[in-house]
Amino acid sequence: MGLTLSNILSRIFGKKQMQILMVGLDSAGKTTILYKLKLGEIVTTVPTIGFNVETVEYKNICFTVWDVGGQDKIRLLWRHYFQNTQGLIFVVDSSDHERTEEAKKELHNMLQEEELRDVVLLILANKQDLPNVMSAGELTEKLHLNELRNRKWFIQATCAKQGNGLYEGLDWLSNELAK
Amino acid sequence: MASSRKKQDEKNLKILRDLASLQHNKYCFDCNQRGPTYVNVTIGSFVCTKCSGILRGLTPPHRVKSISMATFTPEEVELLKSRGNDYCRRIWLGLYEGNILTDSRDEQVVRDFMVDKYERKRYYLDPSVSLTNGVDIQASNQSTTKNITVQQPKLPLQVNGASNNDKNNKNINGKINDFVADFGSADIYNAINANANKDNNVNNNTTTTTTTQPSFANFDNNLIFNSNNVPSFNNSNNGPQHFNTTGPPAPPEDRYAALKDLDNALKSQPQTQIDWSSGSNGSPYGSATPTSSVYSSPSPHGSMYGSPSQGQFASVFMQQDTTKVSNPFNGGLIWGDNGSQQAGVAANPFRTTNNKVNGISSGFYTSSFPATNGGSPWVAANPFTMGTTNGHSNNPFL
Repeated sequence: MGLTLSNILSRIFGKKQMQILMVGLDSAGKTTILYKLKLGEIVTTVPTIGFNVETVEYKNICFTVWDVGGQDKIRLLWRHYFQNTQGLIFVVDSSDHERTEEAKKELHNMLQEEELRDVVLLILANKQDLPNVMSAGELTEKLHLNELRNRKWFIQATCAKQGNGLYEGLDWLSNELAK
Repeated sequence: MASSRKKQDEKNLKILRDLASLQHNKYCFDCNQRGPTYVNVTIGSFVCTKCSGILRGLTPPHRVKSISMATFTPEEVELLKSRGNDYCRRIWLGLYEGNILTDSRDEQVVRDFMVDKYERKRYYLDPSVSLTNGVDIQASNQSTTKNITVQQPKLPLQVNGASNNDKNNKNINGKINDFVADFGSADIYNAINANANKDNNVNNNTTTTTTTQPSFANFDNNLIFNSNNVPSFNNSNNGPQHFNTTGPPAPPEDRYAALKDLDNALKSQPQTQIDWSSGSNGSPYGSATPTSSVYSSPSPHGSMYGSPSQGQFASVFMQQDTTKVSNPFNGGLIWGDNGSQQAGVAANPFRTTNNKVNGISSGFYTSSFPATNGGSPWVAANPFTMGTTNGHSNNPFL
């Protein structure tokens, strides 16, 4: 009886946990997004070698966000973070027309992994403040997102510098988690 | 297929490491920190981790790659081969006349400078222009010690001014090459380095950065060594600083001789600890704002050297000659004024000024020079002019 009550209470008041892995090509803005979410401000980042991890609380959900470096030789390390991941954030530099193909390859390769089978995918089309950027629609096409099967995905245009779109992305993730 | 790509990667990496170990690539292009670990493949320079982070945040962003954590295309390797920090300096700092940022720890300073350099392109010199001078510059770089960096007053950035300076550089190069002494090995430049830097900063109305640097001036760019011309200072209180080259001629050999004598004098007092770096933060010489300059503070001897941060420097000289010593690097205002000189005579290595307003002439002329000092018999002696302009030179080394 008491156990049931505490279950109910923790359902109402307790915090849900969500493990998030955030990856993407180098210079996409992953670390800036992480610290914008965590601190609400823009920090000067250096290229990440290894990872950063922070917990971000939003809508009574505690997101544990792992931000892993994206330079090409260390992308091999991404798979070591796949275990227990519930949500995958793939960050794309929307102004980088040259490397969308590279980003597409990395994304689709990664999604082949068995460990990521049930993971929901949030794509952040970052750096929307820059001139001549691709829209979320264009990126959907260029990243071949419509070819994804058996995957819940969502693309959100963001600007980490101003914070636009970040919480909309987290909204989607939390909604998916609640389902 | 995979193995051939791996081989290519290894080959590229080796080329990159070789490039990074070239003398001019050994320091970060943007902050001068030793040992770059990243390359800026947008312009082809070698930078440190911190600056690579700042470069990513510029508008438009520069693309940076870690030397060891990224793979490079043959095009990128070619670009880095053909460019490097020396090339980038001629292009992106082609019009730059100020102090080279030296291993600056202050991130904001570095960032502001990068914004000026890349976003506003304030110092940008088109490759077609800069490369015509490239041979000269390169030749002079080889003739002087490589890791010597430039320290000189910042000028208003105009194309006209720059072209003047280009001419100056050429003259200097000629002189330096003619002259036989090896200045690169003289300790004196290191010893006086910090102080000279400070002086330049004070000289400089427009400086926004405060720097110290590991070694003294690069003669090929420094106006003081401009062949026969000592730049004269032609200033109005509110105008930007302006050099012209109509100063009195002086034989360059003797300038150096003066420095050598000074070197010997300093060496003969090994027990004296000269801590040039101490107090540099709070030192008025490090301050870029004229209003906080030492000149606005009255000093006990009616001298600008009353400032505590210069105490050590003063004491060194006092031990040698308690009455008639002038600091050759400070434009020659003396402490132990014997009062025999006329007021208003200046012979600053960097500029010659005759400031009627204050009755002061000083190499440290700043637009906010305090009027309270006006009228006092300041005496200036330039060690480099051999007293050609000033019959009453106080320089003990002449």
